[in-house]
Amino acid sequence: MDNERIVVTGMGVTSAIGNNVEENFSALQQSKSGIGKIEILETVHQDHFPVGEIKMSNEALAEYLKLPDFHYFTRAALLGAYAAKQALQQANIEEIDFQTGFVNGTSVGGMDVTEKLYHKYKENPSNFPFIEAQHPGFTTNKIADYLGINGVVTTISTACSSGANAVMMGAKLLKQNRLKRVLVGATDCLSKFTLNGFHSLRILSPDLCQPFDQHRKGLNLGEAAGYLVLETEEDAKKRNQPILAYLEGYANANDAHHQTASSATGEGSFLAMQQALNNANLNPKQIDYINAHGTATPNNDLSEGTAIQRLFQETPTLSSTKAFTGHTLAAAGAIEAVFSILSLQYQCVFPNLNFQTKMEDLNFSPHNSFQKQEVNYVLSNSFGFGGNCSSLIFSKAL
Amino acid sequence: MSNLRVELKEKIIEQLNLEDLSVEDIQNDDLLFGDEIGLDSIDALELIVLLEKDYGIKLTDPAEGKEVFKSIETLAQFIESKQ
Amino acid sequence: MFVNGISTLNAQDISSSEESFFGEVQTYSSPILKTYFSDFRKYIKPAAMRRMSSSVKMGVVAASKVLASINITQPDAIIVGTGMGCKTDSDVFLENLLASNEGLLSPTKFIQSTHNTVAGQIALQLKCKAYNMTFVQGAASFETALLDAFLQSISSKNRHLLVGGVDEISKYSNELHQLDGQLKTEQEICNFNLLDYASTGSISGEGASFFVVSGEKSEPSYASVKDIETYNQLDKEGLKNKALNFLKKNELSTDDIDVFICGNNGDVNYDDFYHSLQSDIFSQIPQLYYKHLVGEFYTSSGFAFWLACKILRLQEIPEICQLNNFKPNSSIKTILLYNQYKGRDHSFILLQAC
Repeated sequence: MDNERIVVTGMGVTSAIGNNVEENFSALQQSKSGIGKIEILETVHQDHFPVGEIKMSNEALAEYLKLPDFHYFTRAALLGAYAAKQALQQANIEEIDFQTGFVNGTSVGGMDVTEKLYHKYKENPSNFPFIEAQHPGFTTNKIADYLGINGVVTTISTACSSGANAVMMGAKLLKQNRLKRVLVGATDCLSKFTLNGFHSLRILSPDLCQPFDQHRKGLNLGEAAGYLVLETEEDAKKRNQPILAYLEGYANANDAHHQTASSATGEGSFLAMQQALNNANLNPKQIDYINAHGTATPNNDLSEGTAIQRLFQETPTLSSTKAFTGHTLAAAGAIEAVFSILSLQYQCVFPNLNFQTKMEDLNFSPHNSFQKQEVNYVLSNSFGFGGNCSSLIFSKAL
Repeated sequence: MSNLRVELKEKIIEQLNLEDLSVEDIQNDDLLFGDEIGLDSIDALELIVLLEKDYGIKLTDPAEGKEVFKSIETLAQFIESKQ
Repeated sequence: MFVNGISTLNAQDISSSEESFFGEVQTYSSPILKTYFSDFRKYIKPAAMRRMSSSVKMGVVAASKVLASINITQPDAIIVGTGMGCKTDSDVFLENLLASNEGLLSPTKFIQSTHNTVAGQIALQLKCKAYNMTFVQGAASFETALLDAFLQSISSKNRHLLVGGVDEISKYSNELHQLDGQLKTEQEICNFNLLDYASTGSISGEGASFFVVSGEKSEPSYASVKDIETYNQLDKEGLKNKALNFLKKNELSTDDIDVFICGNNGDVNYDDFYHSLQSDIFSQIPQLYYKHLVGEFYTSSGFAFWLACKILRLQEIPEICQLNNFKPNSSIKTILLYNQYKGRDHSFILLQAC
C-alpha cells in the first residue's frame, strides 16, 4: 500500500490573481500581480500596507454559492467552499460518500467574524452561532457541510505551512487505504488580527514585496483558498479520470530554533527538502523548478536560500510567487501546489516579480520571467511559525 | 541611581515577564541580550513598543536598536538624548 | 500501534503511582474545572516559561513527563491536537487590537496565538527537528492527531511518536459559551452530578494528555491501539451502523467489548448520541464516563484514552467513572471509546491489552 502512487485529479483556487485555475495561470503568464490597496478589509492600515485581496465581497460569494440567508459562513469558509467546489468538479466527483475525506488547513479560521463580533455577541442572539467560529474546525465544518463530506474531516493549523501539511496528511490517508479520495488544501482570509500581528513583528512591507532581493523590506499579506483532489493512480485510471500530476514525495521537519524566526542555516527547511527528495526517491539534480516559500522577509529568504544552497550544488530554476498573491498564510502551500502543477502541465516556470538586486549572501538569483522550459519535477516549499517546514514534490503526468 | 534607569528596569521586568529578576539584579551596564539578562529578538520588538508607547520615541532603523538596547545605560542615554 | 507511555494533567490529582488512577478525587462546585497540577517550574526553566500560556505549559509538562517515564529524549514525531490552541493569548492580542483601534501592539501575544505553539514549543524545548504537526478539528483534534500517528506507525514501525491533546480554559470563551448554550448556567454545579442537570451545555475544563506510541511493542506497553475512526457528522441510526461496522472491520462483535467509555457531558441536547449506544448495543457491559472529573473541552477525550490505557494496565475500573452496575470480566481485554461534541466530530478508538 505504501508504494501506491498518489495522483492529483482536481484543482481549485481563488486568490488575488484570479477566481479559478485558468485566471490564476493567465495572471502568472502575464506577470500580473494581484497586490494592491486594501478595499474590502476594514482597517486603519488601508493606506499603509498593500495586500493581495480577493475582490469579492462575502455577499457575492454567498450568492454564488447559493447559501441561505443565515448561513454563518466565515470568509475563509466562503473562499474555501468556492475553491473546493472547482476541485471536486474537475475531478468529476459527483457522489460524496464516507470514502471521501477532507483535510483542510487554516491559520486563523473564522477570525474575520471573531474580530467583528468580539464585543458584540451579546447584542443579538443572531450572533450566537458565530461564537463557535472561534475554533478553526468551525470553518472546516462549514465547507464540509456545503460539499456534503461527513466522514473523515480534519483541520491542520501549522501557521504558514498548513496547506502543504494538509496535502501530506491526505496522501497518508490514501496510502493506508483509509479513503478512496481526499480533498486537501487550505483557506485563509485577510483579517485585522493577522495584519496587525505581522505588523507587530515588523515584517510587513509598505511597498510591493521583493522576494530574494537584497533590499527586500518584508512581506505583503494575501488571502486565498486552494484545493486538490487526491486519489491513487489505480483508482483514477479505473474511472478514466485524467491525471493532472503525481504527488511524488513530501516531508515535514522542524527548525527547533525560534518561535517565529528561521535559523541562519535553514536547518528545518534543509531537512524538509532533503527528506522530501528521499521520500520521492530523487536526487537534487532531478528538480527542475522550485516554487520557494520566499515571503520576502529578510529572515525567511536568507534562511531558505541558504538551505537551498546547501542542498543543491546547482540551484534549479527558482521563484517565489508571493509577489503575485501576497503571503496567503495557511493557503500558501495549497495555492502554490496548484501553481507547481500548472508548471508541470504547461511546461513553464513563473516569474519572481519585483526582483532587482541579487542577495549578497546567496550565490543565486530567482528567475524573473515567465518561461517555457522542460519541467519534470517541481519542489514546493512552505514554512511557518513554530519552526514548521514542509516540502512537497510533484511530477508530470505521463 | 537615576530614576529613569530604575524605571526602565521595572518596566522591562514587567513588560517582558522577567519574574525571576528584581531591579537589584540588573546592573546598568549588564548586557541585556547577552548571557547576563538573556533577552532575545522577540524582546527587542517588545522594547521598540515600550520606547514608543512610554517615551514617544519611534525607532525606525532596526540596526539602531542593537546599539540602543545594549544595556540599561545605553537605553537611558538614548532616551535622555531625545528628550 | 502500541502505547508505550502515558501522561495526563487536568482538574484531577492524577496519581503518580503506577498502581492507582487518582489521588483524592477533586470536587468542584462551579462549572469551571481548572487544572489541578501547578508545579510547572519543576519542568520548565523560568526563562523559557515567561512567555508560555497555560496550554503551552500543560503541553510541555505532559510531554516531558511521558518522555521521561520511558527514557526517551528525542521523539521521532511530535503530533498535537488542540481545539482552541492558546485561546487566552489570542483573546488578549485581539482585545488590545480593538481597544487601541489597531494601535501599537506588542508581538508576544500574537506569536503565542498560532495554534501550533504547543507543538512548536515542545520541539524547541527538546531541540527536536522531527515531524511536527498540529490538528485543530474541534472534538476530533486529539483523534486525528492519533490517527496521524497510527498511519505513521504502520508505514514505519520502529519510531517513537509523541502524540497528545491539549486545551486551556479561556475566561471569555466561558462567558460566551454560557450565551450559546455550551456551558451550563446554574449558579452552583457539583461536577459529580453532571448528568443530573436537565439543561443544555456542560462544564468547562482544561488539560493535556500526551502519549508515546510506536509500531513496536516495548516492555511493558500499556495497550495496543487497534483502530481509530472519525466521522464529521452522523445521525443516531448512522452512528449505530458505524459502530457495528467499526467492530466488524476489526473482526470483533459487541460481545468482545469489555468496557465502553463514553463522553457523556450532561448536555440534554446531545447526550442522546451516547444513550443510543449505551441503551442498545452496549447495554450489557460496564459503561464508563469521565467528563464529570475533568470537564468538557475539545481534547478531553485524551483523558479517556489515558483512562483506557490505565484500566488495561491495572485490570480494574475506577468506580467513580461507572455509569451502570455491570462489573467487568475477570480479564479486561478490549475497550471501545466513543466521543462527539454537539453532534459533530464523532470518534471511535479501539484499544486492546497486549
